Amino acid sequence: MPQQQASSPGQGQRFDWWAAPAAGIPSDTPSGDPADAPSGVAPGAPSGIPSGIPSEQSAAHRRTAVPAQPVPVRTAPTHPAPAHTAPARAEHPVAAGPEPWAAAAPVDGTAVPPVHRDGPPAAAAPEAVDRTEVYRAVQASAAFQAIRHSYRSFVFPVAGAFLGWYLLYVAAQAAAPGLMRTPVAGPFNVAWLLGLLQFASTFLLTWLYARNARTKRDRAALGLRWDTQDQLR
Amino acid sequence: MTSVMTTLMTGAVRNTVTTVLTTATPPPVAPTGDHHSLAIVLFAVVVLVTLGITLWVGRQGNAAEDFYAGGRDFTPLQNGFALSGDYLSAASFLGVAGLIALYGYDGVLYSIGFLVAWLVVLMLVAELVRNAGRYTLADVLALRLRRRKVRAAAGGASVVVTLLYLVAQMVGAGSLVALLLGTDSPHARTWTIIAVGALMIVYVTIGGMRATTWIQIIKACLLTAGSVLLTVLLVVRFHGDLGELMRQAAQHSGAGHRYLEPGLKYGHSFTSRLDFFSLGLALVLGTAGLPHILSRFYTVPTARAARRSTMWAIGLVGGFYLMAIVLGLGATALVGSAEVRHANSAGNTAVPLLALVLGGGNGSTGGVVLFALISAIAFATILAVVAGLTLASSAAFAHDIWAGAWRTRPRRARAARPRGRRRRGEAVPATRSAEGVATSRSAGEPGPGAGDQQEVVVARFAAGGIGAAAIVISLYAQQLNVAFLVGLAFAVAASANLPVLLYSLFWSRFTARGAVWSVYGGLVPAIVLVFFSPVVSGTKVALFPGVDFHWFPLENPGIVSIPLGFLAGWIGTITSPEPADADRFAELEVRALTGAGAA
Repeated sequence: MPQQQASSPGQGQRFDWWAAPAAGIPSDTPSGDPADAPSGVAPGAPSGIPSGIPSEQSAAHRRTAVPAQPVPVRTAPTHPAPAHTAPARAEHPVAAGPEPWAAAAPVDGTAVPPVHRDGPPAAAAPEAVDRTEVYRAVQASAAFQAIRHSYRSFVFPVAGAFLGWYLLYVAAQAAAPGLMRTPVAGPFNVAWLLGLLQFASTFLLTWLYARNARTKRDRAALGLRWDTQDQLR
Repeated sequence: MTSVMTTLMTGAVRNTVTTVLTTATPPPVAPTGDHHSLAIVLFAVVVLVTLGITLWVGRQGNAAEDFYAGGRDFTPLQNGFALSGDYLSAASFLGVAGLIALYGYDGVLYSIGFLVAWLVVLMLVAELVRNAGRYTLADVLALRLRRRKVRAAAGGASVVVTLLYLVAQMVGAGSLVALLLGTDSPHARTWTIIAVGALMIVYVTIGGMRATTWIQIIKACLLTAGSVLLTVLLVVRFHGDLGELMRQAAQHSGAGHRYLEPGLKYGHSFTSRLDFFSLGLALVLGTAGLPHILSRFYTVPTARAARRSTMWAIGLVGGFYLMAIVLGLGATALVGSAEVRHANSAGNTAVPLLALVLGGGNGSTGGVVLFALISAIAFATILAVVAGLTLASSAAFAHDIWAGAWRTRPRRARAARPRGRRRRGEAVPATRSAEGVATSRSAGEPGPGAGDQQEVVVARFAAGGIGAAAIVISLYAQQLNVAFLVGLAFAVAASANLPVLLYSLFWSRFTARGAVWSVYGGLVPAIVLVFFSPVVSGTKVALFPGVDFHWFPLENPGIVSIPLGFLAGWIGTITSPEPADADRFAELEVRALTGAGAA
């Protein structure tokens, strides 16, 4: 099933021809194959909108199916199975609410473990996928936006908070030495208390971050990872 | 106790050499100075074991993936130990405890910055870097800013940071090993530096990342075990009463209650307080820009593993610093600040001296064994850290500067120019985009395998060259303050590496010009400010004590250069003639957050 992806003019303009070959080669995706990209994209191919990533979707979703999908169960039942064919996928960038990949589990409950990502793609012979379009589409998808939001809305405030708390603590040594000397218990004073609290807050935030990532992001990110890699092959 | 320690340190110098040559194992009740001979035996064991690992592991693979990333098959636990091993240099193990022994609370203050910094690594850097890059920091930038200039800048900054850190470690190693072996002659220092340098070159060129990682793991286990052992002995000795420990420490510190309050070291003037604030800023932000820490995240298979290894590292580092606080207090309480300072003015031997006392005092078998053990652990620490640094530095050179920036240049002039012209003339942009992707992905070289092999060869040579350079610089920099060098390395990492990394990962409008400006805008001010600081001229302990051209009052440039790095990146971006490449950012963002296409 050839996938004639359009590559939009203007998007490739600023590409640096010389730079950094190594960074972009994913070791486990065949799309690193140099032969793919030029052969698939005709010169002067129609440009613009992601024109849908055709029928590889079924395969994609089968492999995507992570057992026990996380959060958005609410969307799953309302998402009919036929919607997961190619046209539906093309709409994902604009579909606001549902996390598309998440609905995959009920659709084809086969739940192949993600390790099978290198299994034979059902929609054979994917020739060339314009990586740019795929990444743009994934970036715009609601699933990705949810992951991004869940990551940033935890990390940015927390990072600001602990950096502020640490700098405040360091500044307090200079600004308020009297306060820091206030005894608390025995030889223990406020300065020691705050110092030990720094240790405690570091351990606590580590645990909170890990819990947040594990419960809010990990499954979604993994699902989207296989989904994206399937589209790229 | 005072006299015991004094005779220990002076008598040791004379006795060591002869005892080493005659007895391999100490007699049941060792005479003064004999603890050094056991230490030497254990040093030799450390060297032999690490060399054995290097030779054994070095045969497991020669691909670039093996050399730079250890095959990416380490577990989170292993990598967590290796991360803490890379991070807890001898400056931490001996230096922080020594600072606490000498300056009490201000030493604690110093250690906290090292720990909190890991939260930045955990939350903002570890997973995203693991997903988006392959071997080095510059890989992440190159994913969205495909410019040779960006790679060259980031690679150069990485080499500078690692070289500074490397010199700090080797200068420290020279004085430390000489001290632990019981001699203080300049010759011993010089030969120690040369030997440590030669060993690290062997580790890295033969063993690559795999051997380096295993050495770090062993070292971290030894370090943890040694610290736990000493802490348990100490706490048992004080019957678990930490308040009593603090009271006795204050009593034997010579400073009384001020020992337990802030200000003993950093509180003399407003300038010194500001200097500490600057150092604190550099410590907390610098860790996330240290190349040898970042490259460790590539040794695990997934971002999730990178996160879990960071969590292990935080647990180990945090636990270690908590124990270092107790050990520092214990050294003051049992050995006394005056003794510690007498043995080494920076307090670097506080922990070994404490071990001697905890083992039963000088002359007892227990004391000798513990002293030798702790010394050998410190030695293993030094070896492991310099090996990790050399590897990161050679990776930055070979992968970023040579392969990423330099090797592609002649090709550009000969082969690619005509193609470019043709494209400008007739091809439509769509072709450019597609072929551009293809060119960049295939690396525009005969075959990725061949190019990688060549690159690894360059990296091995680079390790040799960088190691040799570090040896030479260290020999000439022996009088430099180790803590200052470490602080400077952190300041440069925080100024040059962190802004560009954070901008690349999080700012959609960031451009190549912003990246280049950000790197140089942090690197150059940091170096210039240090050059005009009291460290280089104007004070008695300066690099050039005779002259005075300093105008920057602080020793650590972080408080100025870190904001400048961020500012330069911002200005470079908003003045950039070309807009940010939204496609590249989409790719980076998707890959960084989901792991799609991760190496």
